[in-house]
Amino acid sequence: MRTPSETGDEPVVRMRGVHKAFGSKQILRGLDLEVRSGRTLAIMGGSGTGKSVALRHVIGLMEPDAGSIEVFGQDLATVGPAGLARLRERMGYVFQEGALVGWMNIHDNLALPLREREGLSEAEVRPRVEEAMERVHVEGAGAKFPSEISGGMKKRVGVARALITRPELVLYDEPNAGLDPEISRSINDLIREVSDTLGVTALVVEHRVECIERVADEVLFLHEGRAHVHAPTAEFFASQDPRLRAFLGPSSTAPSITSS
Amino acid sequence: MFALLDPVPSWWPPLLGLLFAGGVAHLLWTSAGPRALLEEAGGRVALAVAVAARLPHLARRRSWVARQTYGAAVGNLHVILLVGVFIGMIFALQTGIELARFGQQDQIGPLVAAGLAREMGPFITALVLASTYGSALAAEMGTMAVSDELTALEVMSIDRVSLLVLPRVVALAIVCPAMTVICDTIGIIGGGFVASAQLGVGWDLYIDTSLSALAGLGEGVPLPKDVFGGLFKAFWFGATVGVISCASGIAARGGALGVGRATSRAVRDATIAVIVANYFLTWLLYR
Ligand SMILES: Nc1ncnc2c1ncn2[C@@H]1O[C@H](COP(=O)(O)OP(=O)(O)O)[C@@H](O)[C@H]1O
Ligand SMILES: [Mg+2]
Repeated sequence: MRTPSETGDEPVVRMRGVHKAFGSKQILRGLDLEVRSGRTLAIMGGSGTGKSVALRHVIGLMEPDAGSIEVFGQDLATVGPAGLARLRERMGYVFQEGALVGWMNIHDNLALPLREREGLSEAEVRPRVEEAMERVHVEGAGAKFPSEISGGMKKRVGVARALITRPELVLYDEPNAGLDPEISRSINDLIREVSDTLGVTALVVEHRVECIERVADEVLFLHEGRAHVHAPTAEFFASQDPRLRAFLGPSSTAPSITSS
Repeated sequence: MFALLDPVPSWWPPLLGLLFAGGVAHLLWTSAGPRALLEEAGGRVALAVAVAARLPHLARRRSWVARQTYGAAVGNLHVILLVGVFIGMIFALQTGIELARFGQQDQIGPLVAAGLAREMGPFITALVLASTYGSALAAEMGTMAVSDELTALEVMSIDRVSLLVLPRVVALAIVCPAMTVICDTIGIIGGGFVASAQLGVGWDLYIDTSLSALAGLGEGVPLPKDVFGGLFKAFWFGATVGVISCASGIAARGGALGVGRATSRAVRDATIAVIVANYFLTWLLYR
């Protein structure tokens, strides 16, 4: 599935002993996490356990109370604002609701990072935007506004926007939340396709078993602020850890392999 | 007119002090404490500085500036026309009745014109813009804040102040003086209706005396002094409304409720800021 050069050994993301509290609410209590180059790690866990908080730490939107976070081998605590901006240029972030800019049409939304950050000319922007729309199968929607397209389409455009700057690391926050199974499957296929064809490293926050089986190489079960279980996907779902079993419920003791 | 306040009654300064202290106490009571208040004020000053630092980006942002300017101007023109004509009529009626008692109603034109150009025009225009366009800005920014749109721009390393705030603040700084001119003009005309219909001052005399009252050139400014003063104020009022509205929206948290709170805070604070700035700008211009 991957060429050996894409599955290098250096971790792209490494969190060590990350603690985070909001007021008196302790959310992360020593989270350790590693994603190697070219691999896709899924983070699973109950609602409100801090999955989004963990993702926000990786892209420097939150700072840990204790512990360290390294991205592309650089410690986020010491890179400074300019260094963080440079690291972010190598990352893409897919937001839960797409987070498209409401007063710009789809074309302008996709063109935004190219125009604003990379300073490309309109002649260079157009083919890149068209290519991105084709990749997520929303061709012809360029003139529409985010309020005029469906939730699944918004999410696709959100993925396209995250990918348009050709990132090496993509963070997905619940890419399937609120989508019906069919659209959800197409999003999963998209994530898988992106990982395979572009060789990107990915972190996916997700709780649907069928999605994780489709997209992830490894799974991490976040429980009480720590990585309670972290294993390759098949091994993960075979785990007999009682907490994980309780979370997955009886129906998934024998995971169905939903391959397409 | 101000001679009435001279000598100031002895109970006046302590009453003023009490009112001021009461206002501050109420503000602290309703906000999350002095620290949050300072942070909020600091955030707005920081945003104003950030906008100023990005003024060189204006050439690149001209199409957004034009769009915002058009939206602010065209969307609220009828409000300014309606409010302006009535302000002029009220002004003429109030002062006209007093002047008529001394047989001085012929002076109505200069009074209305100077009052509008210096004070009422920019002030009323700024308040109208704060409640119409400023509230819309705060809601727009607030919606972007609570739906992760601002965060998305941040993680894409896109300069949000340059992209979002600069065009809106500049648009308001353009629209406010422009609308002030309209408000002044329509207000003078409105005053003329009252002067000729109710006070028996001839229309021609009213217009002639109004215009000549405004014609006095100021030192070192290319415009008549009172007109320049009013436009100078309007420019700063517009920029102030823009910065406060955007900052309130950007600080919004917690869904639709948070957007609602941010919007009302924007209008409240922009109104206060315009009134306070009005005093200091007037002092600066006419000391
Ligand atoms: N910026 C914040 N300020 C205060 N509390 C927060 C903040 N972000 C997240 N939280 C809290 O942290 C907890 C975990 O949130 P989150 O990571 O979004 O959960 P999830 O695992 O469902 O993604 C929640 O209880 C949430 O209320
Ligand atoms: Mg979440």
